[in-house]
Amino acid sequence: MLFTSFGFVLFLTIVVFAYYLLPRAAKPVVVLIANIVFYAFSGWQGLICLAVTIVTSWAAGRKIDDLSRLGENPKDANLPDFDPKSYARQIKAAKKKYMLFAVLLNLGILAVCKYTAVSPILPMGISFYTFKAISYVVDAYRSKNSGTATRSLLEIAVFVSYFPEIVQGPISRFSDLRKTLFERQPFQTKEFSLGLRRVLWGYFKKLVIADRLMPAMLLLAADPDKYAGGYVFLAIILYAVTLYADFTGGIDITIGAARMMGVRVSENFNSPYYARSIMDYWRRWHITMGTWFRDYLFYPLNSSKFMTTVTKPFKKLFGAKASVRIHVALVTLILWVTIGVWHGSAWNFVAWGLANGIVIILLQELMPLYKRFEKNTKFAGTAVFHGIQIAFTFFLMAFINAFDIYHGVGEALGAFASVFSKGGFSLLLDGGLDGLAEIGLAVPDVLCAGAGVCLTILVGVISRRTAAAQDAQNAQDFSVRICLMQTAVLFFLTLVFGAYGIGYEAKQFIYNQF
Amino acid sequence: MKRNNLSTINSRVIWAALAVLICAVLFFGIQRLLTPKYMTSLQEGAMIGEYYRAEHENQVLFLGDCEVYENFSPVTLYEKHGITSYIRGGPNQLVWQSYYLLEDTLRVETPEIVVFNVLAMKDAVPASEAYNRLNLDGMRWSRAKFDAIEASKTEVDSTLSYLFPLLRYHDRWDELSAEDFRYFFRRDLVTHNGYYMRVDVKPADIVPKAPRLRDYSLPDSNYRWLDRMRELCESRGAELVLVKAPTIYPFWYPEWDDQIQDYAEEHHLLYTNLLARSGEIGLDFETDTYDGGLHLNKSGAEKSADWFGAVLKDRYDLADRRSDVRARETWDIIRMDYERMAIRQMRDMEAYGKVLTFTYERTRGE
Repeated sequence: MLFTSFGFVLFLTIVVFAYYLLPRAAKPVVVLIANIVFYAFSGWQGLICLAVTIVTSWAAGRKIDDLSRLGENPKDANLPDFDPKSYARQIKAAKKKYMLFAVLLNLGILAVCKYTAVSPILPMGISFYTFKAISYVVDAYRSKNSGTATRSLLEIAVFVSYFPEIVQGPISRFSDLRKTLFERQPFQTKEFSLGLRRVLWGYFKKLVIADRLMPAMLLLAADPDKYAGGYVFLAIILYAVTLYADFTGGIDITIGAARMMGVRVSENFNSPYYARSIMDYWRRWHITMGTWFRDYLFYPLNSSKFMTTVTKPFKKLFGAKASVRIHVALVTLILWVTIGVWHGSAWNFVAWGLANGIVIILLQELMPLYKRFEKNTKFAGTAVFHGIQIAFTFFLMAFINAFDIYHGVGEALGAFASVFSKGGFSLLLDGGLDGLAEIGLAVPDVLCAGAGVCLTILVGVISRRTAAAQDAQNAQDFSVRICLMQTAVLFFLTLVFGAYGIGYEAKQFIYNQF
Repeated sequence: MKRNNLSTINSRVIWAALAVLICAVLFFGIQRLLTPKYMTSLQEGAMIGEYYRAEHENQVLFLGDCEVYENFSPVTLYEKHGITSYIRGGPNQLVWQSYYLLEDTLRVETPEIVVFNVLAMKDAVPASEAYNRLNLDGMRWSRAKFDAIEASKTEVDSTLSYLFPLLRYHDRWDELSAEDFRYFFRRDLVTHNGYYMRVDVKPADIVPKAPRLRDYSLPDSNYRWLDRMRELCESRGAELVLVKAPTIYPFWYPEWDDQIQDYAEEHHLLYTNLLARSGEIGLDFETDTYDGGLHLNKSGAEKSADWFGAVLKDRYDLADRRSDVRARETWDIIRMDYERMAIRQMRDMEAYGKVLTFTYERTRGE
């Protein structure tokens, strides 16, 4: 069920009504039924994989929790030969077994379904719910206290299969989501209206900007020989804008839909195109994925015996300081290649991951130089310099992300090269408006998407300015009326200027494929 | 304290009601603005909706595609035979659309005769979404409309976009013209009780040969719709009459004619193939068609209406409404508009060599 379909709007309306009309105790059941119904629209077969992940995570979490309780209250603590350290080690080893079992099993299902031809289906959102399940089990394992994992199968089922975030994230943590997901909250006008406005804002970005630009972008990317030079540059910029509007729009719908029911889902973006470096960008873009890989891959790998062994020879060759840098660089590369592969099994994604990793390593190596420049040059602190940094980061990420849109690494590199070799922008400039119309960007499309982008930037600037005073949401003087008026404006803007219905192919969110 | 709470609640309710009202007005206002008006082109799109503005005291209801709305003149039926009639025709109207238009019509009036043009019996699937729109968008919200949508929608359609046409026409904002603003509140009329007038002439010089078909069976599903139409007429005491209008093509094969004839005989219905009687009717395809035999012009439509009116009068006990004062008043206005439109179209022909006038404002009672 597409978020942008009338079916989803109807589905969400029914769920929200049921959520508030039924007794509070029934709310988790309502959400679970909604999750199952939503998931079943993508095919019932996927439900089997989802059920396996839920049950194994729940069972492992429960066992780990039992062991944590045992660790807290050892039965034999009063015996004279009781060794607390040895007991703790035993408990930890037992917990580790359950954790590894659940993690490896679920990673195995993910690998088989996503990367092999063995599975006849690719369950919807498998990358996202598997990561949620893994974080749940690992967090339970890492916690020194019992109670991190839930003992309720219903709760874990609701969490893993939570319908607003199953198709494209965010990858919420159980500890974050449980605070509001299982709270028996009454209807709150403020939460509901904020959620509704967020949903409409998401639809606006998706339908007015992303779906209007996407056909042109796909057309340009489909034939890089014909659309070379300036057109490649245009494709890359279009993709940057489309990807942003599409992904953040989808997440807005997710967060808004959850919030309409009083559930706070983790934020996934923080003005990523205002980032002043690629590292900064990745702290702002798809935040929950970044923190997931940081917490469950980067840190464990960085401190693992394996990596220490691998980088040991470098210590003798280049010295201790350099070997540490090599160690981190290697872990960074592994991390980014893994992130690339998580996005998909094609070489494009590997290249995309490598490009990210290499650029990050290079920039980290250049960091001391930059620090010196920043310290000694007044210009470094000016708004102009910040603007240059922002623009540089935007174009850099736009180029790296463009690996996604071409059919192969070679094709992507060839297209990039043509920007500099095939007459630059003359093709575009000569074609003018006709040239744009030829690629499916008629004047109304440009006007619509352009106005949409301007509004998005304006909203971004306003919300950044007022960020300190809010969440606008928490401010005392928050006005439901103004919020609903904004919602109505967004509704009508999307209704009229959205690219949907006949003549526009309904487009899945880009991140759904991952 | 209680009074304060009550006044807060009251003010909230009022505010919410006002907000909903404003949104609804905006929604329907935008929808009205963006929905095509069909006044300066593709006037056929305005036909179905016009029915609701007419008098609903008709003895005969015509249903079908362009073969009814261009080939029978209700004014002639009234003036020559005293029969009041309305044509609820639409371009490429399908059998089930005719059925639901009949249901829709029976909500407001019960004609004595329902005339169905059988050419649509050949089509079991909608030709396109565009034709669906021309036949369904004009219908008012009703169960009949909803069912017609469900029966007609193509793979690319959604029911919601028929119920709320804004969802279909939202992207017309970049092609809004003076027409959309001019006809925002009220549209002109394009038909005379459903009849779409053309006075120009284009002889049927070249009649292409009918291609052979692999299978001449009319689709079973259409017979089921025809059964439903017949049963509905029976339940309301109306007589169903089947006709094949007198146009040369789209081709009407003898094999199809036989099947309809058999159906009519089996169910004791009157079936008249006016094409086979065109000589008797007095039709001359040199002068009575405006597009080479596809449709009749005013002259042809009047001849076929006159002939068919006589058939109906002969077979059924239809009262002559010419002496009915109320009907006379109504039909005098329709006739005046009809004659004025004919004069305007003739003038167009003289001045520009083609018809340019397709809409008119209803004459007020004098």
